[in-house]
Amino acid sequence: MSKTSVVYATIAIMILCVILVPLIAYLFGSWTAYWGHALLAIVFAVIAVFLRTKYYWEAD
Amino acid sequence: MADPTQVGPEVAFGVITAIVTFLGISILLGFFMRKKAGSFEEWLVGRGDIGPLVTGFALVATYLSGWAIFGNAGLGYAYGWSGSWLIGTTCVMGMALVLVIGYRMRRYVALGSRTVPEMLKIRFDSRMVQALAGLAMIVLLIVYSVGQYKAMATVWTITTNMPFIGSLLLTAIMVLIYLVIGGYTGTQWVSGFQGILLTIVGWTLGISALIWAGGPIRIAETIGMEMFTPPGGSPTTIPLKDFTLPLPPPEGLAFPGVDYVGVAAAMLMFLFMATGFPHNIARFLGTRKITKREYWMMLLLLIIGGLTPLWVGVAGLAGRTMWGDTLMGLEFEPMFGDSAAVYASLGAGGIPLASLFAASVFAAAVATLAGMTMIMATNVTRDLVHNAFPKTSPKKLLRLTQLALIPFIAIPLWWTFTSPPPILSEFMAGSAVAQAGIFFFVVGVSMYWKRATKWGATAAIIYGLSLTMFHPKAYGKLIGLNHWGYWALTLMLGAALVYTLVSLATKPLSKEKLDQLFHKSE
Repeated sequence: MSKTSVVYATIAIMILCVILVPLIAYLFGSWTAYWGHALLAIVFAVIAVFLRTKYYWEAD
Repeated sequence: MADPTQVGPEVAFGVITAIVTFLGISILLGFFMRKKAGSFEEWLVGRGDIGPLVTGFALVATYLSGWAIFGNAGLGYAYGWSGSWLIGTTCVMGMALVLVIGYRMRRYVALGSRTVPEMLKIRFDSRMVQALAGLAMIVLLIVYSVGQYKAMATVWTITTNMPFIGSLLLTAIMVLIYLVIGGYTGTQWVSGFQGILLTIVGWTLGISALIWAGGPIRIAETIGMEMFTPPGGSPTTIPLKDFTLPLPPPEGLAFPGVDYVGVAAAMLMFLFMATGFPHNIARFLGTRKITKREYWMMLLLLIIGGLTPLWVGVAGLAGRTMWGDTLMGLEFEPMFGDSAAVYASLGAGGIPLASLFAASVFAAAVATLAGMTMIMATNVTRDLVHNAFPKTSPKKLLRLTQLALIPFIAIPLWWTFTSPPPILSEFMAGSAVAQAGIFFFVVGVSMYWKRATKWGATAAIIYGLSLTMFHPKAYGKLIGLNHWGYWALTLMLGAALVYTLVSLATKPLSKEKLDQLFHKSE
C-alpha cells in the first residue's frame, strides 16, 4: 500500500472512533459505553502517534 | 442510605500530614532544581533537557486540574451516566493530539520563546498577538481558577469541619505560601512528581470505590433506578439511566449532556482542549529531543494518566449508589455533589486514602492555582507591560509581577466566595471551551500552517473571547442562547472559521521569515 492510502485509511479509522462514541452511548449505555469510550480514545491515540512516528516524524 | 458526614478529628490530622508532606517534597524539588538552574528562565523551562518520562507526567499533572481529580466525582454523582461527557471519557484523544502537535514548541524555544504568548510573538512577528493572547489567558484562567478554589476549599471543609469561607481563605493563604517559597510548579520535575501522585491516587480511589459500592453491576443497577435532583432542590422524575439527561428548558439546556448536540460539543471540546490549554502545551518548552521509541513511551504515560479522570468519575457513581441524592440537599450547600469525592475516599479507603486524596486535590488545585496565578502575573509584566515599554528594567518587572500576584489571587477568591459554582466541572467547562476554541488554532494549528496570519490569530482571539461572554449562564440567556451545545459549537467552530478565512484573506509572513520557522519540506 502506498503512504497516501495508509494515511487515508488510518485517518478514516480515527474518524470512525469519534463517530462510534455517541453511537455506543446511545445503543449500549452503562459501563459498556463508559469504558468503550476510553477504548476508542486509546485506539485513536495509538493511530495518531503511529502516523506521527511513521510518516510525519520531525528530526531536529 | 448511609450517612456519609461523620468525619472525626483523626481525618483532619491525616489530611494535614499528607498535605504538609506533599508540600515539603514539592518545595525540596523546586529548590533543588532552582539551585541547578543558572537563571530564572532556565528554571522555568529547564535547559531543554527534560526527558519523556518527566514531560509525560508533567503533561498529566497540568491536564488533571481540580476538575478532573476532584470535580469528576461530582459529575458522576449528580448526573449519573450523562455526567460522563464532562468527565471526559474520550480525553485520551485530546491528549494524543497535544503529544502529536506540541512537540514543535521546542523549535520556538530555540528561537527565544519561554512562554506561549512569546511563542506567538515569534510565529507571527507581532507584539499585538502576544499581548492579546496574554490578555485572553488572564480572562480565561481567572474563570478556571474559581473551580480550583472550590475544589480545595471543599476538601478542607469536609475533612477539618472548618466553615467553607474559612477554608477558602486558607486555600488562598496556601497558594500565597506556595508562591512565596518558590514551589509553584514552574519546573517540569515538580509537575512530573505531581502527575505520578495524581495518577496513582485517582486509580486507587476509583478501583476502591468500585469494590466498596458492591461492584460494577450493583452500581449500574442503582444508577439505573436513580432520578435527577438539582442542587438544593427536590427530586425530579428525570432518570439518570441514560447518557443524555433531558433537563427542562431553559436552565436545563445549559447542561452539556442534555442532548446529543451538547454531547458533540463536549467531545469537540475534549479533542481540542489539551492542546488549547496554554499551560498544557507549554510543557513541551523544556523537552529535549526525543526518539520514536520515547514518543511511544510518552503515549503510554498519557493513556495511563488520561484514564485517571474516568476512575474519579467512578467514585462519584459509587457515591450515588451508596447515598442516593443525599449530597444534593441544602445542608451540603455550597459543596453539593462535589463533596462526593471526599466522602467516597473516606468510605472506600478510610483515613489513609482520604489523606492521600486530599494531598492530590492540593496538588491539582493549589499547585495549579499557584501556577495559573504566576502565569497571569507574568502575562501582565512580560506580555503587556514589557511589550508596551521594552525599556522597563528587569527589577521593576519582577516587582510588578509580585504585585500582580495579589489581584490574581483575590479576584477568583472573591468570585468563589460570593457565588461558588454548584458543580465546579460544569462551570470550568465554560473556560475550557474558550481555551480549546481559541488556542487550539492560534497556537497548535499555527505551528503547522504556514498560511496562518497575525490577523487570523487576532480575529480568532477576539471572536472567542466575545463569544465566551455569551455562555448560557452568563449573557447568553439575554439573547436566547440557552443551549450549551450550540454556544460551544458556535464558539469553537466559529473560531476555526474566523481564523481560517481571515488568514486566507490577509498577507502571511515573508518567505524569509517563514523559512526560519518551517523546514523546507514542510
